[in-house]
Amino acid sequence: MNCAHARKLLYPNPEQAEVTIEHSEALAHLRSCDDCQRLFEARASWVGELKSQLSPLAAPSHLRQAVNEITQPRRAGLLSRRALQVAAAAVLLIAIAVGWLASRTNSQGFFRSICEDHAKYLTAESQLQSTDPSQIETWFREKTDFGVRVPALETTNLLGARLCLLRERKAALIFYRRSGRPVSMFQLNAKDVSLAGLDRSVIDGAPFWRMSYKGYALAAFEQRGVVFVLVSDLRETDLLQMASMARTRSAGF
Amino acid sequence: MKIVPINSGSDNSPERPPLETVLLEEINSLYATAIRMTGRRDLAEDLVQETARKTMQGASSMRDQRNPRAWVFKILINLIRDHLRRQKLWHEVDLSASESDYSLAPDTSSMHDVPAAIAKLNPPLRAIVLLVHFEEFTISEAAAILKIPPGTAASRLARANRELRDSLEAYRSRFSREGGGA
Repeated sequence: MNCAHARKLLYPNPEQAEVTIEHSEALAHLRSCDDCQRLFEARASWVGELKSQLSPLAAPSHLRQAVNEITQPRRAGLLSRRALQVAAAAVLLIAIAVGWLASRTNSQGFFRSICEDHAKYLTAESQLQSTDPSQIETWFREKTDFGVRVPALETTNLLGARLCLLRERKAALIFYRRSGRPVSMFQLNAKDVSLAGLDRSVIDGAPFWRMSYKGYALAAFEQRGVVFVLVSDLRETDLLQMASMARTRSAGF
Repeated sequence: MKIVPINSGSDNSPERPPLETVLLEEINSLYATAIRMTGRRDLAEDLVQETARKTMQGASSMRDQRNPRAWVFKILINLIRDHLRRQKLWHEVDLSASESDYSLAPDTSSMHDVPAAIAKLNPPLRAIVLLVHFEEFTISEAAAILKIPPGTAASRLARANRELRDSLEAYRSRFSREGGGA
């Protein structure tokens, strides 16, 4: 590439010239050509001098004000749109928080009622007195819309079962006795129950939920669309251990 | 000489300043360009306000534009050109190939009365000088603003630079003959 061609391609200077496919070739020429470099330096110096000779012209304040007013409606619109977005996000967050709180409160209320039910029916007789898990499961077959599973638990006596209604939810109630203490195992359709109000623990990699109410411990877990809830005045750790065992046993069904 | 990376004239940044910001940030440049193109402050103020109005009206169609600053200047230059055409002051430049001297080496010793030399330029030549030398648009951007091909924009700039140099040289000669000092 010769000087004339490079100068034309890089006119008025490498930074402002139109970029063409020959641009890089022209730049390469410029890097290696002292004459061209001197020319572009002189031109840059001339333009710099030209600019320095023109005094700056500042827009008068009333013009600035007028332009500001012209742009105001859109800026206000943008601001109000942004404010609306922020407000909507805040409302959504509050709604989620309130919803979560309500769900948690509602859920806690339900599990408290389970504890109360356990206390109330401590002396109640089973509708079906049986130590045979399969007999109890068969008995429940026509009575619930979910498959009731009755796990046989070591060092725990199975006593019998009854059908109960907890806040209009049908539940299978199975009675056990462990270490001399009565243990109620409620089973409900998972669609009807939220565990959100309980504290979560993980035992052997499986999630469990727990709470304490009026001296009773409650441990729950979900399996195959059924929520198992164990209530007793046993220590919470003992009850959780029992729940863990029940989960393992019922998984084999 | 510092050789910087090529500026392709495209803006790849994901966040572009909104037009309102560009208008307010560039108001001095818009006003100065309008004055230097028309020579009248009151008219320059009207043109800048009209530029702001048209910019805001066309804000929705601006979404796909990559260079909001060039967009705003294009509106201003359109308004100026329309005004000067009505006044029969805008004469398109007839450029012959020989007039495009890209090897012209200007002389910085002849910088006298630059505003007058710029004012003497035919408006299309004055516009390219103001856009490229003073507003630092690239040739491609200036061409888009003036709605002419980039090659024509480069030729116009070369012609304008030669006229400017001649004008400034003539002033220096006259100034020297009249016995003035720099």
